[in-house]
Amino acid sequence: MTRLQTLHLLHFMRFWKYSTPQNFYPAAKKIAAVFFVLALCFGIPGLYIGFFVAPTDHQQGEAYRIIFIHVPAAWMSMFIYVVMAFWAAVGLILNTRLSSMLAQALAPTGALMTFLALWTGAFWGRPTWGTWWVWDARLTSELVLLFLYVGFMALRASIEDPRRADKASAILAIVGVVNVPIIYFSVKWWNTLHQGASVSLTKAPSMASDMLLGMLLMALSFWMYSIAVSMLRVRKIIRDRERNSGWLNN
Amino acid sequence: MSSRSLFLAVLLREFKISLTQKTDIATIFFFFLIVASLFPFAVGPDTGSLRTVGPGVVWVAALLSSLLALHRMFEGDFIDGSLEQFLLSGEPLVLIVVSKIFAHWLFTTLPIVILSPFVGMQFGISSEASWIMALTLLIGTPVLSLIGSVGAALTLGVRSGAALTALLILPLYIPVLIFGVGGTVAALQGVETTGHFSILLALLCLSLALCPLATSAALKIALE
Amino acid sequence: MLELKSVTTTRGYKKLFEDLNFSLEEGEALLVNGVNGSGKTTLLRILCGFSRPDAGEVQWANKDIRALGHDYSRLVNYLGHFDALKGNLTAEENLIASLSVMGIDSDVATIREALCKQDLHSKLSVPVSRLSAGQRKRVALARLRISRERPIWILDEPFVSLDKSSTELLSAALSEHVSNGGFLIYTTHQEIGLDVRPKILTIN
Repeated sequence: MTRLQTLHLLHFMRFWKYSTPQNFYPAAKKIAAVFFVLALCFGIPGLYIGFFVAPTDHQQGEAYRIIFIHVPAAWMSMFIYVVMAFWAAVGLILNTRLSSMLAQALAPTGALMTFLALWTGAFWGRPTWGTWWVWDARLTSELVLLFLYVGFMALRASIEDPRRADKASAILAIVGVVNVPIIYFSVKWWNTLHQGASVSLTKAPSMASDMLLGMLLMALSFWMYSIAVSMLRVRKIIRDRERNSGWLNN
Repeated sequence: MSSRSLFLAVLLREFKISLTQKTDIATIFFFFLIVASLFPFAVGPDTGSLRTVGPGVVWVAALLSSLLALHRMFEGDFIDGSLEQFLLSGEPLVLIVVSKIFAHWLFTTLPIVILSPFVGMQFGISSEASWIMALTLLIGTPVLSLIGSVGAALTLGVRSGAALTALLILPLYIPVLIFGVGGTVAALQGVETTGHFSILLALLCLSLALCPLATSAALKIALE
Repeated sequence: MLELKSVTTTRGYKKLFEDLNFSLEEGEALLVNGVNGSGKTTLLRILCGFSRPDAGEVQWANKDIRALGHDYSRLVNYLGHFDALKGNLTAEENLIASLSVMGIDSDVATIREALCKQDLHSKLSVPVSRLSAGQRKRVALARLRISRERPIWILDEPFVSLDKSSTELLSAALSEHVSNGGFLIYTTHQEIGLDVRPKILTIN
């Protein structure tokens, strides 16, 4: 598809009107407000179910409840990486600034989700397995994902010219996204080889439908939160990068 | 200009340049030996424990040496303007990149691969298993060079380049490390190694197909 | 014809030039003027196709050079601030190596002749790192001469480090190129006389 055809397609998707930083800036604020509210709408019932409604697990006691933070955070960490790589790739291929700014805005939130997944994973592991860390396939992959996020942000930070930073980090993100499944399967294989049939940390006790609902609600809440926070962050990035453009002084 | 003659022209050029940089290459070679030698001091001289960590140690030492050598790949050409001339040559940059990566691996990392069985035996690994280990390195280190080339190209001219490159590509090295060491350990235990080699070869094919493209794109970005 | 159409570019956070237009025909030269840091080098690099302008296009024969890709690159003979020479190799070895990668067929005799023409016959087997700045420049100019079939010459400060006789040699070569129907775009801080009066583009 030529560049022109792609632009026409985006126009029909009605993104084009908002695809300059200048036009997106006010819209981002409104989007953030809406999604913060949505985050609360999903989060409050989610937490309620997780900490009050879902039954106590006979094996793991109350400690397992942290799964309602851990699993949604892990899901989001992977989802955000893919979305970040997508916007970075769009920015690289179509040479648009806003797409790259979105990727830039998503990275810290993705890293936070990854860190949260690791942190809660440790808290789950401690009472259950007696150690703060196990080299479980999922946890190890999360750790590697954290390194990928940090690498993305570090590369951006080291390059002074923002457009060059956009493009270089886009390549890194694309290479990362291709590698994530490979890394995941390699780590899984490595883990089964060394631990045999030992139960994975993330193999939750058999799911009551309450638990599943709770995790889903929390996942949605984290998703809404991520969007909201990224919108605020992209505004800050726009202010930073467009400061010489003149339109910001209004 | 035919692909083959371009590939050979670049290879010959890298060879002539490498001849004048023998010290650099030897330094990386000895780095490999020193890093591998550190572990007995850390772990103790007991043959049993050395044999357990041996495959991992040799692989990590080779991996770190490969990483250390990466700056040689493009930095010289970037600094003196040769890279710009490559871009203007009218020849496909991807092919030039493949040739440079191959030359880099050939002159910098292959010596390490050749030496590895002997280091393996120092760790008490049997000679058959040591040769298998060398074979895993033979297939795996080109993958490291290919992935590393992307990191090297992305960090051209950037401050804290070496540490940053390490941060960017070490996570991507993990699959190669897992299967390289896995194959060696399987050989040590007398178990089937064909699975490991199949995956290593698959990783080689995949990285050969994708990395030069990413590296070329990254080089063009560095020259903007 | 080489054309710049409404080219705008920023470097970092600073806008270098906006809505730049010019055109260059066969047998014409363009001198780009401007103070240091004004964006002359950036403009030349855009003309080489290394950078993409933020807005506008560079066109060769009415086609965007980005669309032409290698077909355009093959027409450009570029000499920037860096001479693309490997310090540990001799002048001869350097030229053999770089020309072979550029796909320009050159035997050792041609290369020697080009280097001798630049008054370097006594320096053929010396590693380039032991040559003076002016001598290194002349090696780079020798390479330029060998690839002179490429019609578009883009030279960034080519006269820097050259003594009087080398300067005259280069001016003559440039004049010859232009009068043979070549394109020339260059920058310089010195007063250089070419046979053909160049067009002037000032960036401020």
